Amino acid sequence: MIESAFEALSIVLDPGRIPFMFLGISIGLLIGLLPGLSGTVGMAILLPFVYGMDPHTGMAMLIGMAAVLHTGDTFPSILLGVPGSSGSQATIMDGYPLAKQGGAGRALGAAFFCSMIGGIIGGVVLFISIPLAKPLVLAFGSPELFMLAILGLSMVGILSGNTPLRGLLVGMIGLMLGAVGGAPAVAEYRYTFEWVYLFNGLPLAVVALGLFAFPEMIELLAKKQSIAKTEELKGSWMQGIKDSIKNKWLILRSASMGSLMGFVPGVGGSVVDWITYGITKQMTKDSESFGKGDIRGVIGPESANNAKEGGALIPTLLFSIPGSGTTAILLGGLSLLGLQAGPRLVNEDISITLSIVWTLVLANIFGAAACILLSKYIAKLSLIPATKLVPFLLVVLMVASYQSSRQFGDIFLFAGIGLLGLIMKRLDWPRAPLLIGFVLSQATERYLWISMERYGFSWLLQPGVIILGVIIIALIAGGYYLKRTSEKSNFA
Amino acid sequence: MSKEVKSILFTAFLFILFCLMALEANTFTDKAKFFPFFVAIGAAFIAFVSVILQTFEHVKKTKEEEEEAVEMKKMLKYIFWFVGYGVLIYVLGFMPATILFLLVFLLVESKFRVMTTILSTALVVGVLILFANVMNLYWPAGVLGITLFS
Repeated sequence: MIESAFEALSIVLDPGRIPFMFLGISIGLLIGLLPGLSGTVGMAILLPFVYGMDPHTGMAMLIGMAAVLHTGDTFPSILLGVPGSSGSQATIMDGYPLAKQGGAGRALGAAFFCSMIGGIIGGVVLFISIPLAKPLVLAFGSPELFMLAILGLSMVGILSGNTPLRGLLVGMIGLMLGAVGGAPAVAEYRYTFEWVYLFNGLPLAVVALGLFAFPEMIELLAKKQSIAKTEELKGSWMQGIKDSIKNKWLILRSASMGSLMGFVPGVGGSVVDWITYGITKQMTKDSESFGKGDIRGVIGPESANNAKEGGALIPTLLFSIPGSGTTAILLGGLSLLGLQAGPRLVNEDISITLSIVWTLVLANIFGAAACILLSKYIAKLSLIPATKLVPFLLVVLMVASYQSSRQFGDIFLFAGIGLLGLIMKRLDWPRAPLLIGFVLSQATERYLWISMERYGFSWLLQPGVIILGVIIIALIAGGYYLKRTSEKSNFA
Repeated sequence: MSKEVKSILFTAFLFILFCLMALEANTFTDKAKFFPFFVAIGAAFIAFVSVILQTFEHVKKTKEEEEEAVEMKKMLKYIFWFVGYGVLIYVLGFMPATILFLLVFLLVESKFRVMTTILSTALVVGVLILFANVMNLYWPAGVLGITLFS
């Protein structure tokens, strides 16, 4: 394993691949610091470009983006009091007051340092989990794999917040969209209406771009999001780093919690952020200063939100369970690169999994370094008004959507799904469940069909299936409990 | 029209759509049918229940939220820009459409100066050509068959 790890490091550090990792890091930082754009949008934009790349390069770009998202989103949280993404909401509580008191540099220094350490710990947790999960993953047959797909689908309820029925309905739209094209069990085309473009099914990249990127662009323009006032970059960066080192156990505790919570599918960045903030506050003796500019209120959540990414990759890569829109797209990205999440990634394609671990670690180091060194320039980017930025992003989106199958159908589908996404966003319908349903549709149908053909209904009584059934119930209950705890911390 | 009413209409639309999909699935052979048919039936049932629940909730509510009509108008305007750009790509091809779209949008909506608009558009075209070569990207030629920078 150690030998394979060093081999993977040499693959990641290949001069031909490094620029793509930096491209991913740059886009991750940019998406993070633009309020309103999420990691799902970033992943959707990058996905079409990985087509045709070698798996290591493609993964370096995608993971590089996802790894640093919660590093870049700290800028708007601390300087503007606006969350760059959902995972940096709790940072505002103490980061923004610190900036107002002239300690923006100190808060950012602490945040970037903790993000880096948290990200590295997340990578280590992912690395450790591979040998532990390997025997389990390799023991799975089609009934267990079907149950894992159901486990992924059951996350739609958790991702839907207070509207589980809508989440379920949206997840089913995803399942039906995934059924478009060739049937897996028989040579027959479904819902294609004799349109050749639909014969291969709907491209995931276009669906993801339309569903997430299109509505965000329209809303950014319509609201003309631009921020009038920003706090100045005053205060010592080194002081922030020294504060972090002084609170090393808090970093370790928060990062470990972040990794473990990330493992639970459906628990997003905002949940991890708020729970860590709540626990940090509860476990601190002199907690009166929290909410007024206490540096520990920045250190706790910032250590956890980057560590969460490593934990979130465990169910995605090893068990094919996407716990969020971002990991659902990543799962699709693996297919585009000719890979399959699950048993293969811990066996034949172990070098890919290990290169993902390294990319996670390196991207966090490079991302934090870039934020510290280029902070003055990067901070200014979050002030660009939407009307000056969106036209350029739209060109990128059009190029990206056309790369999926290189037919005009891609552009029509992008507009069609985009309008559906916009309606859903305007009506407060959850969108991530659609993506999860779409990604898991083929696998669910295939494994159900194989299980039924091979075992009839007796597969339902297999021990692995029963255990997974119990886990599904426990995870749903656990997910709801974590969400409620997070909401309580939010209100407190 | 309030957000709740729109949501009920959207759910009703989904109910009809799922019913149609179930009918269509019924025409497939058995092995191709079982998955989409049962998912569509289940989804139609959930949509139906959801319409009823949302209607009850809406009737209970006495106050209606005010519509953000101004924002809606702006959104429609930008949807028109986006769709217009797509239509331009279909007719002119990607590169001429992008140049035209950027020049007009940056001048009209972004309020850029003429020189900044021209320089920004030229920069985007340059970056696109560079990335097309490095990452092996393609773009559509359009029905008029204009092939600019491809």
